[in-house]
Amino acid sequence: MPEQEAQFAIDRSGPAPILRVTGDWTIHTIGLIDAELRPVRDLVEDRPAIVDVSGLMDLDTAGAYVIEKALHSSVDEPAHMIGNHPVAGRMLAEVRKFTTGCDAQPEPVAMWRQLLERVGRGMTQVYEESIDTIGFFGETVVACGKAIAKPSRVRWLPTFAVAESAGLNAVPIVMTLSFFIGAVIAFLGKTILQDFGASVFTIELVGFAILREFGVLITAIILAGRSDSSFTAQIGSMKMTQEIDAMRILGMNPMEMLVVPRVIALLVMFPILTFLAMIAGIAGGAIVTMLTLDISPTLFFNRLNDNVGVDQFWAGMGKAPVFAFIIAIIGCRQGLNVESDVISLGQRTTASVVQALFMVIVVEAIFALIYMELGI
Amino acid sequence: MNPADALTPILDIPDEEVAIRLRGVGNRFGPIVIHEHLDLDVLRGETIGIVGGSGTGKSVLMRAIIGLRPPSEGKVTVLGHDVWSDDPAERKALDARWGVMFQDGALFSNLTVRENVMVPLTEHTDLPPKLRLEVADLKILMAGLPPSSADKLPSELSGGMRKRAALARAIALDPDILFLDEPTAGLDPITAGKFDALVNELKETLGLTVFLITHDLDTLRDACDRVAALAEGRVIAIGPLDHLREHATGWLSEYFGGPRGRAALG
Repeated sequence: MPEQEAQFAIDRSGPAPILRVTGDWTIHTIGLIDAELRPVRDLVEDRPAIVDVSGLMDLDTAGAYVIEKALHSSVDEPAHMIGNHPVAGRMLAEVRKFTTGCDAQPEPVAMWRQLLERVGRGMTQVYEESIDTIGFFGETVVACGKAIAKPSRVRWLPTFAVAESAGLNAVPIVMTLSFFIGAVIAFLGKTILQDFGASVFTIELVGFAILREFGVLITAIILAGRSDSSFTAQIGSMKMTQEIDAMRILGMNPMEMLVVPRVIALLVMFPILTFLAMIAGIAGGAIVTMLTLDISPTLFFNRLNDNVGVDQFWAGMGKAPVFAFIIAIIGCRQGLNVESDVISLGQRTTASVVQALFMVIVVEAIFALIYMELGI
Repeated sequence: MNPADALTPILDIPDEEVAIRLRGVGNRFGPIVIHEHLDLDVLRGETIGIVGGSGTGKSVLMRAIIGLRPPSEGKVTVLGHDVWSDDPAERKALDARWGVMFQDGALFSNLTVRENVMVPLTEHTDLPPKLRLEVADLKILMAGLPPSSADKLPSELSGGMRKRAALARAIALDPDILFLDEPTAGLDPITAGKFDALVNELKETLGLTVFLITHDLDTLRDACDRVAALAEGRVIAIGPLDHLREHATGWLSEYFGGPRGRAALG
């Protein structure tokens, strides 16, 4: 059945104005007429107003609402209805109960106030986040300390599961990326050092860069993106389904169940991944230097051994546990802070990756300063 | 035969009186058969309560009717349109003619209650923004929520209020058929009773056909015109509650005759 256009007319010949409505007054037709009817709302002031529904066809609650609103009808002062319609009387009476409540629109807040509010909220958030992170750091250290004191309390099954998914499964990507970074460094070194006739120092460049900085940094960046998001999403969705609450009630400590296994797994796997990243990076650099500079493998590794040395390896490796700890606790903390809605899960996952990357770079810079002072 | 007295699914009702018609519907998950040769007619303007033990596929049946999960076999017709027809026009004709309230509300968690109710209005109508807000508020009030809840997020509401908000969204477009999946589950008896009354009131006002899945015997008594019992993969009995109780056999007699059934139905 095609819809009939909603139409109305106001008859002022009698003692009270009569609103004559014709056609279909449903949610699909009233959109066109609302703009016309709205000014009339204020014209039909001399109540009691009357509505004539004899020409009315289809009516739904939205249509009834518009009619009632135009008539300023309320439960105390209902509009009179004339004419016959199968549902109009009941529908108008039902909607009348609610017409007064529907104008309560939220008060608009001034733009500058919104801006100030957001800035203020952002500032306090940064402050609270910092305090929380430090608190969580302490809590984790205590939990890990207890685990060390009593290794039988460590949940080994989840620990190995995390070690596999966050560590072992990351081996291919970490090694591939490291390999390419090593190759790129070698190309860069060769191109620039050739101008000074010192292209053989490319070997030292590759050695220093990969062992001291990039091996561990690439691993940290990949794990910050890969494992942090998964830690936050896993723990966060457990939080959403009240699994964490269930754990607490059953006397299991979520720190012990969820955080400690992840920290231990990363503490073990991170140095291993770093080691593999170093090997792949050196291999990438070695292949490029051998192919472009005609340097033999013996010369490459001899120079690496004599001029770079094992100190640089330990300088890089020394950062690994620190990064592992940072990544694990940021991921877990953000997961535990997820609330019961989807938005917060998204926000927390983003925050987790961003914070982890930020902290990794900051700590990397701090290490650079310390090493410089120590003369390594 | 008068539909009111029938105990088995009746098959000779004229099309225009039927809101939902299922013929030979089968549902299976791999080797597990949920429904087989299931026939059911839901009359226009009635409230039909669907009962059945856990795992008898009440929700699966509803999903087959509202177009979310294709039945393995059989035909589903709603308001004269084939839900699973290949012709997109058939499906489109049904858009906006049904409202669904899912078990957990399924409110969009990043939108406020008012915005949730406005989603179908924005999608399917061309109301001016101001009127859209007002109509959304009207539906929220009709669903029995206080005006202050309109600006809240679903996570800030209690379970009962969330159900009402879901109901407000389901009736946003004044649908012909309202599907309710366990509307009173998890509500306290007083709130559940109010919810039943609300559904009855809305049904009267809007002339709805209500398809109601429930375990709540009070809801069956207070809100349903007819009751259909699912067991053994089909509708084993259908009819008014009292009629069904008198002729209950097998699972159904256990259902009505158990301590809870006796307590609720007297």
